[in-house]
Amino acid sequence: MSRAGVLDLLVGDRQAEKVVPRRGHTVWLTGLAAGIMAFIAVLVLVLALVGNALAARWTAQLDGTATLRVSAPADQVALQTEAALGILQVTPGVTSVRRVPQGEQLALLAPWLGTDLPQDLLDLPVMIDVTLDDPDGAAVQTIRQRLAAEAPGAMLDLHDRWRDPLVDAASTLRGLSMLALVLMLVLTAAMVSLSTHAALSSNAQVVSTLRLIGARDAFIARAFVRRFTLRAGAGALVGMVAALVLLLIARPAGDHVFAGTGLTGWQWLWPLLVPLLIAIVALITTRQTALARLRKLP
Amino acid sequence: MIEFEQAGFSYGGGQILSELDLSIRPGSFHFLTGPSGAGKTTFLRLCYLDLKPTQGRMAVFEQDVARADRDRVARLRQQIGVVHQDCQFLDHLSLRENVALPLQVAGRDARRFDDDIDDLLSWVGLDARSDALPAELSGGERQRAALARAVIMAPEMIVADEPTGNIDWEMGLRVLDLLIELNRMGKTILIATHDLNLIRSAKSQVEAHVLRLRSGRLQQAEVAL
Repeated sequence: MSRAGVLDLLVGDRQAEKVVPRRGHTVWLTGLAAGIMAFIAVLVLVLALVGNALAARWTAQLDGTATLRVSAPADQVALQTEAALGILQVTPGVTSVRRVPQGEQLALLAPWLGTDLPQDLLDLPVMIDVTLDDPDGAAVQTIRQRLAAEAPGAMLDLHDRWRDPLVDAASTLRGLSMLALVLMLVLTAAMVSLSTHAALSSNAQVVSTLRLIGARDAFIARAFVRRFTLRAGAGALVGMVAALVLLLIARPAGDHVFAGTGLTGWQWLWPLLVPLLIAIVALITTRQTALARLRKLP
Repeated sequence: MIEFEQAGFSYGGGQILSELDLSIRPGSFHFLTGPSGAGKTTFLRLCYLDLKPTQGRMAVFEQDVARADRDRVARLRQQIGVVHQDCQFLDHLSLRENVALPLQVAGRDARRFDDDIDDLLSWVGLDARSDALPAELSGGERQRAALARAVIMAPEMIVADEPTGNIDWEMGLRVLDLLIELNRMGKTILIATHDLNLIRSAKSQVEAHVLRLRSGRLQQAEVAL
């Protein structure tokens, strides 16, 4: 679209728009459909942001932490635990080492096993919390090599099997959300295209008269472009506001798993992209549909 | 102004016009006659560039229409005023807005032409009806309004398709007088009509040529009228 065309849209080419009578339901329905699309799109967008926030939080909580578990024959446990602690304390890159007391382990198991289990019936392994300044650094390799030689019953767990699926799930959720957004924009384009065809058909006499007096295709298209773009943009804006109001009402709080994962700060600006994108899609679709249709006329 | 060289037009496998050889000179006055279905409207649509010939060559204002792109054709069309039997107004716009429409379409600010529009409406005797909607106008008023709209861009040529077909004889003569006046101002006029009395009346006032279409072929018809 030319600079003048963009200006026409922003400032408004009311003269061109006025040649098309305000009648029919196509434009009104376009606004309604765009509003619903925007409503769903904003929810999908927020879902993606929440998924990202959850994954980032969980990853951050696990990142840099490791657990060393000592499972050895009873007579070896103390020896191997001492050896493992010794290795951890002298290895560069290990920032903290803490042996998890048995009481704390039992507290973690309490939700599943209850609180009245006698401690001596459970053969709990020794657990050591380790903090590393770089979980991908050389320290991990050094620790594993030395543990294999000096404390073969000790296993270093970097929590990969918890963290990686979370990252994968967040990535999949983000991908699916983006796909859903793209599909919604495609659906918007299809809907606007159908509406434009309907509007051109119901205004065939107007188009014929305009051509008769020398109107260029661009002039005729512009009459429809402004109307559909503004109506789709306005509908999408209302849909976006409705979605944001819903999100504010249903905002997670307290100890809820989603607490703190809603839109915060500048993230509230993301939904503004939705009506903007829908308006741009409506503009391009209406213009291209109208021009393609007009080009079929002699 | 308009040149046809062995031009023809076919549509859907049927030959509607063929072997058109004609030169319409600037300032000339032509009538186009012929029986219904002879291709008069198609011929006029070729003249005001609503259609392009499918055979031969046609030039308008020395521009070969086959080589003109859509924007060029639209600009050429702005130099040809068209009056239809059914007038083709935009029903939701007032008479004044309809008359000003070609200016708007050509990208001009119609408000700067208010005086011209007033003069034009006065010339066709509709100055008191400028705010009326097309549906509120009589048949004669609609034809005169269509003529006003056709000339607002000061075109070199006026093409009229049965301009008196839906109005009474007196009103028809009034429309014809306006067309003759335009011709005396140097405008080229081409009118399709069945009305031989109208042709006779025009020939008594201006040098009018009569073209006759028969079975899609054009004949110069200096017939006794």
